[in-house]
Amino acid sequence: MREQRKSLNSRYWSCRMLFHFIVIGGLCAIVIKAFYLQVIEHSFWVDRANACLNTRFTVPAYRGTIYDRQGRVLSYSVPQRSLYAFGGQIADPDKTAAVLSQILNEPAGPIQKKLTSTNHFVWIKRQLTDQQALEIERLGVPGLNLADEYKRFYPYRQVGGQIVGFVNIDGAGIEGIEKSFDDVLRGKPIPVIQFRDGGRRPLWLNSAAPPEPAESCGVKLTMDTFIQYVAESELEKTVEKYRARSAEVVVLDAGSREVLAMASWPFFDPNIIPEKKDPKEELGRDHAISDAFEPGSTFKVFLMSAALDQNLVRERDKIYCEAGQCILAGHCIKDVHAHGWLTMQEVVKYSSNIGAAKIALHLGSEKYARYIHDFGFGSLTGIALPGEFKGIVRAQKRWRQIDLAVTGFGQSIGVTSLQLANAIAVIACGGEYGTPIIAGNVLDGQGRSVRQFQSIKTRKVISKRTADQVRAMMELVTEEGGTGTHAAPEGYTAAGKTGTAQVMDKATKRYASNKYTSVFAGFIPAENPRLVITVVVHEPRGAIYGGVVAAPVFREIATKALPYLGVMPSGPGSAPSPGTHMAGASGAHTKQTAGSKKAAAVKPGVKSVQKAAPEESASTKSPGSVRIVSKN
Amino acid sequence: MRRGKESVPVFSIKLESDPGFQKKGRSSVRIWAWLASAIFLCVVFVICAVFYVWLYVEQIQNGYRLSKAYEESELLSNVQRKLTIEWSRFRDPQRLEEIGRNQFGLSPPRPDQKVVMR
Repeated sequence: MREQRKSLNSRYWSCRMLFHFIVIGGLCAIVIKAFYLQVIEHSFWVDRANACLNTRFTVPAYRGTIYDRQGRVLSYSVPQRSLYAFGGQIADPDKTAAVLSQILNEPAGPIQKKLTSTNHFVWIKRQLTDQQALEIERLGVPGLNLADEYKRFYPYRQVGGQIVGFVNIDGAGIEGIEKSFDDVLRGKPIPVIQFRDGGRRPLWLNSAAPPEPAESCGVKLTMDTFIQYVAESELEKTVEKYRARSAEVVVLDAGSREVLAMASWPFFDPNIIPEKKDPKEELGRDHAISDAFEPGSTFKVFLMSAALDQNLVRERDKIYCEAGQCILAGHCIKDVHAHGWLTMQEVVKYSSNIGAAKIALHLGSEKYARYIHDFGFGSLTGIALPGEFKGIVRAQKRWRQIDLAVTGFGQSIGVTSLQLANAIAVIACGGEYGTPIIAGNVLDGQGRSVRQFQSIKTRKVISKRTADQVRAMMELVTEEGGTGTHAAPEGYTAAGKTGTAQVMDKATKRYASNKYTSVFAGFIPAENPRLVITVVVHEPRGAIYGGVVAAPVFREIATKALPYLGVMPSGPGSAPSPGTHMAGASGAHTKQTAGSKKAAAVKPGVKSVQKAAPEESASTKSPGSVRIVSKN
Repeated sequence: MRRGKESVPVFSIKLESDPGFQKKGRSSVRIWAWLASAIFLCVVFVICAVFYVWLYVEQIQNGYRLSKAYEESELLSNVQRKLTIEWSRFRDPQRLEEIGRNQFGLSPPRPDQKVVMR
């Protein structure tokens, strides 16, 4: 019994030991395996687990919005879905292509080709409409997927289309503000990792809240959509009326040099970008900054500014205009109307080429070239838009006498519409040159201003006195007898200068006899300038003169834009047009005010100049046949 | 009889006079106390465990809810952006002019229809 118990005990103990070994061995095996998995193969299994559980997606950062100066949305990004397929994974490509063809309204052939492609990833169509995306989602074809993308919309369509520019299908800026502020506007999507369960349902287990879609910084322009629209519609009417080749308008705020409108016909709708762009086509090109033209007689005001600023001539000095035709620097120069003796004011008012050429020769190329440069011609204005052209100004050393003479009346020089408007603004604002600006502010995602742009006043071009003298001359142009009478709107005084320039024929390299550029550049109101407007109409038919073709556009824009800006008609010569009711005024008073306009139109200073015209006392000789008579 | 009365120690008032019973009673109390505290701890543990599981389940459920809310917020944000575009389109002066002219027969005022406020 005792032995039996002993043997039982030994069996018991051996079994127990064996059991211990098995358990401990098993545990050791588990620990070793755990160590192997947790330490040695840790990264591999972590990656594998993450691949099963986590899904990576990007929280969109919308491209920044572009606003006009009143906060109207000009360019905005909206989510739009795109269709892609995993090539070769579509069970029935023929049938799927046929269905997709109906939904996408595209031929089935190219779709089928994409579906049978061996590429792992292939776009079928990008930026679908909501309806198309919904229909495709309902199909539920395995291998067909929808990706979230963003499309840029321009709700004001062609209004300011060239200024705003456009982006390509990948959201990169191609033209206009979209291009020049691409770094600011472009959004950076935030990559986020999210759990998914076995049923691929998303599950947010991170401690932080899911990030919300953010918007990148936006840009607030100085452009005003209403003024831009007015400028575009008036320009379009003129282009249609005169069947012009193209036309441009620039409207600047005289004080701040902010671009309120910059239109160039033909207009451009950034919503409609052809998929295959014709390389010859100038899509979205802003001709107001990228194309140069000869400014014609509008350039006389800069010549006169230079001559007056240099004290080479005075307002009441008289110059002989050779009865409409003369030979200067070996070339025949003509005036449209024959003039004899004209004061400096009359040279501008009647736009005498001969008078201007003589003054230019008297001024000399060195001084004149310096003033041309100081007014901003031949160099970039620095506006924040791509593709600006600096214009064409020959090096002063290469100027011949004839170049100097014809540059006096705006030939042999190329300027852009913006350069011309900005140079006119120098005269309007007391002779100081400032850079024009198109972007007012950079705004953060919440619409707070983070950066502000202002015009930089870089130099004093002419004295205040000279600017006032030239301004008075420009006022005469829009008054009775001047070449720009069509520019003066009812109730306002305007100052400006007309220009009619012949166009160089590219084939013959000579001025074409039937092609002209009609220009009007000026500012309004004359006494306290608020707007500087330049109108350029290329190759109009039927009428060619700047005073006939371009000046009415100036008037119409001013008539609509000034009340909008709060500049109401004022002064005795600013009565509203006949028939306009005056709130709180009797009809008799209204008539009297309207009738007094003409009487008050001619300013006292102007009258005295006209009276003083015949009086001549002294003369100065200038190079060549130039003879300027001074009145003491 | 008197002695008999005295010989009922169990129900005697003088427990301290019986050391065996005293010892037995103390250990019984200890067992009960231990059992009670063990049961209490078990209950607490179970409650904690249930609470923990509940928290975990809630966390998961909230994860789903958050995810769904996030998707809804994104959807609403998209709708809001599309409505912003629509609103901007309504403010397009060109469109307004077209609507005014074509739908309502409006035209720019003649000079005699203008009233200048002074």
